[in-house]
Amino acid sequence: MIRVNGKPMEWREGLTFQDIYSFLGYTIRSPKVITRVNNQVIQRNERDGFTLPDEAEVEVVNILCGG
Amino acid sequence: MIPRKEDYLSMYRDLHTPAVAEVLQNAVVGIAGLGGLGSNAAALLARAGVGSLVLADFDTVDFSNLNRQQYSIEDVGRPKAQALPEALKRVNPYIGLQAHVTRLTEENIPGIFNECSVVVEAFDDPVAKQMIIETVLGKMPSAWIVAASGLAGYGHYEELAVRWFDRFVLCGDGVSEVAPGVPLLAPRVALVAATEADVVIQILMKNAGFSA
Repeated sequence: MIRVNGKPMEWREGLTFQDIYSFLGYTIRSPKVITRVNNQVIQRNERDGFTLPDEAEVEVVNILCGG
Repeated sequence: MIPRKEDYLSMYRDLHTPAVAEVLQNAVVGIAGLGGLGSNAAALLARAGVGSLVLADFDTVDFSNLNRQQYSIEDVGRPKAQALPEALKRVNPYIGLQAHVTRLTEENIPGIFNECSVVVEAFDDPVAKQMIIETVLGKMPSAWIVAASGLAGYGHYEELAVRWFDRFVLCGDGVSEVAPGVPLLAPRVALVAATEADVVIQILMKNAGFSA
């Protein structure tokens, strides 16, 4: 089991950020987000190929247009 | 008559108390983007007595910017990074300003904001926002990035929030994106710009060993 923005999500071998995005309801492959796993920032170019470890605490922070 | 530099320093010491005045006077803060967020945050930090600002924006002032940005009719057509310093100097002629008319990139951000302990993310475009947050966190090991997400429209004040991560603070409601009927309006943009400026002051004071 991992936690994604505080919500429990079932863990399995090879879990990727695409799975996390689907879990959160994103419909695009590269949402504009900042991601952290166990308090470490995972940069956008590190996310492909990153597999989430069991027990991970995952944060996905939405970055919206406007300024 | 323009007050002397000593007059400013003693005014800030008297009004803000010496500890706060000194921390702010010694600070160097970066403002990345000089639009609705950046021009307002810079104006507030300059007024609050921050000693030096590093300003950067590639764009010129457009007539349509007057709805929410700290510019006047006579600034239209001028680079924002030239017009804003003049406005700030009218408030405090002794503020240290470095202004860059340039597009910020992963490559130039660490150099331009080299002296800054805190950088304010004040872009409009989410791709650029994501880029500068990750660049500061990845390439500037001691700097903080204060960013904004979710500031369009009006109302919903109770949903505006500040989320603290390691060296990364996000201001805004996290949901209000620009959409039909949800435009960028001066009050709510300025509210989030003011939140970013206040968070900068919190970080500066905390880094100097004071608690809020």
